[in-house]
Amino acid sequence: MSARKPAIEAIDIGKDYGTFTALSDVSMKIMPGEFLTLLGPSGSGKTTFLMMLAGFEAVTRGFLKINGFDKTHADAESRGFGMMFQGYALFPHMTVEQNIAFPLKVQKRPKSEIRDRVTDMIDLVGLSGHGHKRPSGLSGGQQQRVALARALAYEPPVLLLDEPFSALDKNLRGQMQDELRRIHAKMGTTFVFVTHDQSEALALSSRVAIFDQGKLQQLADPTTVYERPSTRFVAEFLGDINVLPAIFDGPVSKVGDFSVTLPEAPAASARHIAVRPEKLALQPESSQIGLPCVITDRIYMGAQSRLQLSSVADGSPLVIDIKTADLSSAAEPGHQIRVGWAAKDSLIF
Amino acid sequence: MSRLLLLSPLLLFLGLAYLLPLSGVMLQSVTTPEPGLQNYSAALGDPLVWSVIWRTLRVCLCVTVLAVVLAYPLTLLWLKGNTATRVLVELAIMIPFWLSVLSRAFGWLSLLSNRGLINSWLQSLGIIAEPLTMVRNEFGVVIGMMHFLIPFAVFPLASAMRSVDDRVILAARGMGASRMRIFWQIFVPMTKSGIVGAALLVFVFSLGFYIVPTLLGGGRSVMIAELIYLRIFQIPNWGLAAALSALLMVSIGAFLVALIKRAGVSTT
Repeated sequence: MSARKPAIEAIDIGKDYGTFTALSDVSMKIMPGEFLTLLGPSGSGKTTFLMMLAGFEAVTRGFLKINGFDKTHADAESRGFGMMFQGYALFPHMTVEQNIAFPLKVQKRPKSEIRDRVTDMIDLVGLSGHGHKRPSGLSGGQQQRVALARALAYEPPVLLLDEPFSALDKNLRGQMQDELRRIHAKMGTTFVFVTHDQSEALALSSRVAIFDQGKLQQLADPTTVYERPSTRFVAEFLGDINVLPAIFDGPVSKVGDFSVTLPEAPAASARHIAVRPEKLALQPESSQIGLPCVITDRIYMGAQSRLQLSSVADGSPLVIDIKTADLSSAAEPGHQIRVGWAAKDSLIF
Repeated sequence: MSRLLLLSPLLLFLGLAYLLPLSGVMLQSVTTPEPGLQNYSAALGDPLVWSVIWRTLRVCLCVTVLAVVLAYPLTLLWLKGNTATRVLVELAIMIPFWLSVLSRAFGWLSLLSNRGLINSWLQSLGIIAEPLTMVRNEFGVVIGMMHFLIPFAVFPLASAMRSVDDRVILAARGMGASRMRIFWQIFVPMTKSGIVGAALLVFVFSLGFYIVPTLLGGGRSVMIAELIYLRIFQIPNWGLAAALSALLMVSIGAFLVALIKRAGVSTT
């Protein structure tokens, strides 16, 4: 990968609206064929960044290179990217076939080629037999497939997707995610996908870029952003995490009376130790090691159960996820227990 | 019951001022001078009446097409222009509503007549030797009616244009489509309901126009409403005038039903 030129390269890109800075100094290389997700809460700047990639928003600062050429101020029409919008943005007065054929007609492809390509795309997204219907005659999921087929019909080098699944219910979402992964693998197009759903981001992407308050927080593969988040925001945004105040003395950190020896000494600014709920373990009742906690609630979630705890030393709340089968009946609210975790699972902020 | 009571002054007024005289007219069309349908057969058998009907349809069709075509870019400016443009266009749309149709017709007369502003200006510049005939013909009637009816075309167009999803336009732009292609192949078809609605509204309104054709047509391009007037006051033939009124009302009613049906369909 490293020998290839990036499909898109952003260099210190920023966007201001008047005095408000929507995005500041984002730099990243998007490699050909990758599935990059831009993840963040609303107002984090992820959509602004996508719109600048698309050419729909003007760039205030920085440079944008596409295939090595400066395209910072090129208009959307000349970039040749595919785009999928929230709410599908299909042409309501055209049939499914006409919708998919539209970008091909814009490119003045020969009629026979357009016909073949439209048929191929309809097959690819599983809509055979619906070609003559109008969008209003299709379900949400089917409209979504038409939008995908239309965006990919003219084989754009890059497909930009702006929260395309936000209007779909959970089951349909899962189906469309599988479909998108399959189509990405088959077409080899570069996908840049915007979402605020962290599980969607982790499930789909080859890399995830996490935005908050107009800044790029971390850009890495899904395992790294989840297991080794670079900031407390990233750690808390990607699923649940227990954040405990700690005192550090070289590599030794103390949470109340419980001490953990870290693989290496943390930075001087470190104040907290954080652990994911599934990395915590209940210590045997006889054990004298572990952080003493009182169970405040027990929540049954099927295969897993969640215990809500309160640290005896300072009252910090904790949650721990445990296989329901492994949980003793004694683990009821009011009981005192001890929890522990492996030093390597500690995150320091 | 109390609702009916509250409505009763209005119902009473409409009944006395509108329904009663109207039924009188309807009655006259089949009773004057003697009972029977002879007024209708006379009206539909008269080549003069037919030529007036054709002229009315021709003029109204011209007015409709021109008013909608001109209102379309005006509406676009109103909705998509910058703030100054919007205010200006809004004033241009609203001010005609505050002026009486009579003063506007006289205004056009002073602009378009043989010794009017436009002709004397063109003559003093030496562009034309003889005055152009712009009133006392269908041209003047079309101009005057169009001016009155353009604002009525703006509102249905505006509501259709507002409902166009901007993302659809962005999507087309992202595919590399030119502005012209987006306008003609995406935007205009997506506002079709507004175009049809505006056209029906303008057409229905224009059919019954009286003052503008009378003043700007100068008795030479008589339309149906003026013909009815002439049959009442110049060659008194109340039965025939009543029959013509009935015919006009029924045809306008038919268009209105079509209009309401369309509106009903588009809201469901």
